[in-house]
Amino acid sequence: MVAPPTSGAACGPACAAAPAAPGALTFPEIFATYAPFVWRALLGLGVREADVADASQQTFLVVHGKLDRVDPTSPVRTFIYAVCLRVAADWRRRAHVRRELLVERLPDQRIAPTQESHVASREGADRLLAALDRMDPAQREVFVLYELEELDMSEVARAVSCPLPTAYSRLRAARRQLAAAYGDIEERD
Amino acid sequence: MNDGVFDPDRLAKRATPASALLREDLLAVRDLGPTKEQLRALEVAVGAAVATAAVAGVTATAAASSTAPSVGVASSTAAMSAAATVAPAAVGGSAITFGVSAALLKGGAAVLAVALSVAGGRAWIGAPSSRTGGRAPIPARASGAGPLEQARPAGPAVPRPLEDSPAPPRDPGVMAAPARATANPPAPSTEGRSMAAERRLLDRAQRALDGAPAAALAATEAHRRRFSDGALAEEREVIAVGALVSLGREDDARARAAAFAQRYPGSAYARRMRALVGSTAK
Repeated sequence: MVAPPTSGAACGPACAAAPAAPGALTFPEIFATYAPFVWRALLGLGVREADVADASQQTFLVVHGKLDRVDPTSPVRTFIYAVCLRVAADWRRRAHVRRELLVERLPDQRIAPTQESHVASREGADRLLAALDRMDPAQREVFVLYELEELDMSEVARAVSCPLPTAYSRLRAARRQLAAAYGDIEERD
Repeated sequence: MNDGVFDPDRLAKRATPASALLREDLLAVRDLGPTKEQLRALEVAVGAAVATAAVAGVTATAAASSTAPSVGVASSTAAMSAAATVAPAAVGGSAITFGVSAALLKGGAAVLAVALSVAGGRAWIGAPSSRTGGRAPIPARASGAGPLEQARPAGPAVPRPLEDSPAPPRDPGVMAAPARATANPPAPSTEGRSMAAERRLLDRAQRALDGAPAAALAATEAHRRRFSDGALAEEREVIAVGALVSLGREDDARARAAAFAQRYPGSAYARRMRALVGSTAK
């Protein structure tokens, strides 16, 4: 199944991609298909923006390493999101440890003109991400996979490895908490 | 996959009772994602890491570090000869690309490659440039390399600048972060990982410098936020100033170079820094 690593070194990119199963996507295809989703999911799962490139890279390295062992009956998407969850949990822990080391932005950081139109939605995204930061991580995972990544609940349950009813109850709890948080915001305004 | 018939409506849908603001914010988060440049940089980084992992899988560590650079040589020779003009965009393509960092490092801008040959660990990739780009000065900072120094490959002999004093004195503020790392010792692997992360970020910045200075600046900023006083902080500043110059932000570049001179008075990069901003002096 796995291409010998030597051939990967000798003949370039395509050789390094061991197909997971007949007809399955090769690694470069998986990357091309999922990279933007992985990036977004990691942000939703609490990886800091400064870290998201590294966390994405880590995710794909794990995916690459395990591709030949993935359950062929399970969609590759579920597997990739499951890896995202673990990588994000890892980065959240590290960010917590590192928080005190973070410093304020340099004054030379300006918003590029092309980004100005996105400022409002960027604020909205930050507001939701901040609300997610205050959420129980297990609930957050279910919420992000269902509401942002639009997986089915059965897929969500498989990705977070919990029974389906548990996933439903986590989703309900997450929604309740967000509804309360946004209710407060709107009352204040 | 049965399409979740029992699944509740998603909050982003209009019909749900969710707050309008929450719905908007959900859509805003859905819009998040990497820029084209970020995506390309990620692709390159993943490709390089995968290639390195594949090589490391079959060779001893020491051998791996001398083999890894060769992975990209064949594909990057052409790019190397045109390195002065080629932009990162020309190399990415749609497939995972290996070993391009070597091709993208211009001879004169091989700061990072050389620095990494000093400080880098196993996954070190940029040897060809560090040999050919001998003009780049080396930061004499054995302490910065820490435990990784032991894992240092028998790499190319690196020329040391004689005119600059080695081991630039750092002010107490600068010492804070490294001191914490020793006082509160993490597992060596943690330190190795953070060095690898530092290297990745700056490798990305260095690559973007030629063609996408804004992306390069963003990557140095990411490095600054994560590794304010990391082992490669000086390299970061050099790249950042280069990016600012490329962006035409001479004033910012000069201010940052001045801050650098004050912070790292004996830096091996002092001369390079002066040259960078000197070219913009009025």
